[in-house]
Amino acid sequence: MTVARTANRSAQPGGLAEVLEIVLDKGIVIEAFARVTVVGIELLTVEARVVVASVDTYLRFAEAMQQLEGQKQQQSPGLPGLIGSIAGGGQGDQSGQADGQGADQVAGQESLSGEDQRAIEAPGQRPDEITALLTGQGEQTEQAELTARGGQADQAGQADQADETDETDQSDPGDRRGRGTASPREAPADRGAPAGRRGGRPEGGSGGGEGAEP
Amino acid sequence: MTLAVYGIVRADHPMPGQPPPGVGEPAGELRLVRSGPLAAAVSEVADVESLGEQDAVAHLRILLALLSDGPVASLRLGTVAPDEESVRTEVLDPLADELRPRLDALEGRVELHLTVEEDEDAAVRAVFGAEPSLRANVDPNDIDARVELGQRVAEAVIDRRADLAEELLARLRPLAEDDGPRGHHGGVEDPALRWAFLVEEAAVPDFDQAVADLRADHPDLAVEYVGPLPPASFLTLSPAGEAAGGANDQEAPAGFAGSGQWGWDGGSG
Repeated sequence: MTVARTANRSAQPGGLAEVLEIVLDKGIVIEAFARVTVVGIELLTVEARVVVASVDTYLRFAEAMQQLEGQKQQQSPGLPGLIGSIAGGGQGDQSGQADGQGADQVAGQESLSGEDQRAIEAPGQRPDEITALLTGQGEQTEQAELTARGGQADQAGQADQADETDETDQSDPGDRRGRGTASPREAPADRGAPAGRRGGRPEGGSGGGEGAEP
Repeated sequence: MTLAVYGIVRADHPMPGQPPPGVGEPAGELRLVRSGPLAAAVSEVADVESLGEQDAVAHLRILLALLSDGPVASLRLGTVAPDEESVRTEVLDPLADELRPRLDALEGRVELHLTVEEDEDAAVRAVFGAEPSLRANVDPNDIDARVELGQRVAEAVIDRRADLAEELLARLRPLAEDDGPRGHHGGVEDPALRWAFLVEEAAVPDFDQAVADLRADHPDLAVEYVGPLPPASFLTLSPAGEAAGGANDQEAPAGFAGSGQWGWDGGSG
């Protein structure tokens, strides 16, 4: 009765929780007898086995989503012709083609939606902030609060598109200009295209915030 | 003299060639106490007021050492008896009728554990790519709106994990005789999959290959693959009036021994 070892498979669980699952949770309990008993178990880590999703988790997710959204918007207008000329008519050139071309913008959006995951996972596009945010689980509430406030400044362009024209003087002009010009054009494309594609499902808040745009 | 009792094997089970040390300090020497068709693995302990992490690991190592020579049933960590006679009369004899056939049925089978975790960062990015409706610009100061967005993202993460788990199970189940969940999984803070498989020893290499393929196809997932382990997930007894669920299911109502069902909602509390 021997099972060969492989590099693929571990002989023993790596974590205490897994060990306890076998020797504590799944072990046969001898009870209702006078002499055989079960002694106390001192395991400080036992309580760590129960993890419950909380508001902190949700805030973390929302933050991460917004970071990704901001990152995407930042990249689109940030590299006007460059990506467009290199990539041709594919996923990355959305902004380049979109400049002044409403119809192409729609097409760019569509293909981007499909390929977003790949695009987002491209090494250069991964924000360290998100990783830090996602891994730091210690004081989540406070951290989330701080991030929300701290992030406001550099997220201004992304989060406050509705009134960004009023804030233009507060942040990097070049960066700002890129977003400012992209948003109004994106708005109609965003609403028009996906409405037919997605059965009228609203395309999230990106449309909602831009309603105030001229 | 006090005896720590680790597990039960069949009476003809050999002693491990190099028995691991027992629990407690100093660690006692492992030996088998036989009665009828069963034998209990025990060691003497001096101080047994409480046991800690090292003892949990020692208990598991003893089970694993026994397992290499045949089926073994784990007793709950911390089970102690005052002498060999009480081990026979209170552990082995009452269990003999039910446990012996169960152990026989597990001959040549081992339990394998698979825990598949998805990186949270990657999970959110996947949702971002797949669910344009969730790409919202929420006012950073509006906590309610952020929580609401986060909840919707969490739901999407859970849905995707359920799909992932189904895919993985569809690949592995054909190679196992039985399988079932091992506690929490599928939730936003849980592994995508925490599963136990009962696999014939002859099929273990195939299972290894299937897990290797799975890892190759999903390099983004953290896959913990452990075994062979004592088939505790597939050894449920029916003491004192309980029907299918064993005493070991008391703390896990969602366990698969109770109902035979293991839906995702059950495990992801």
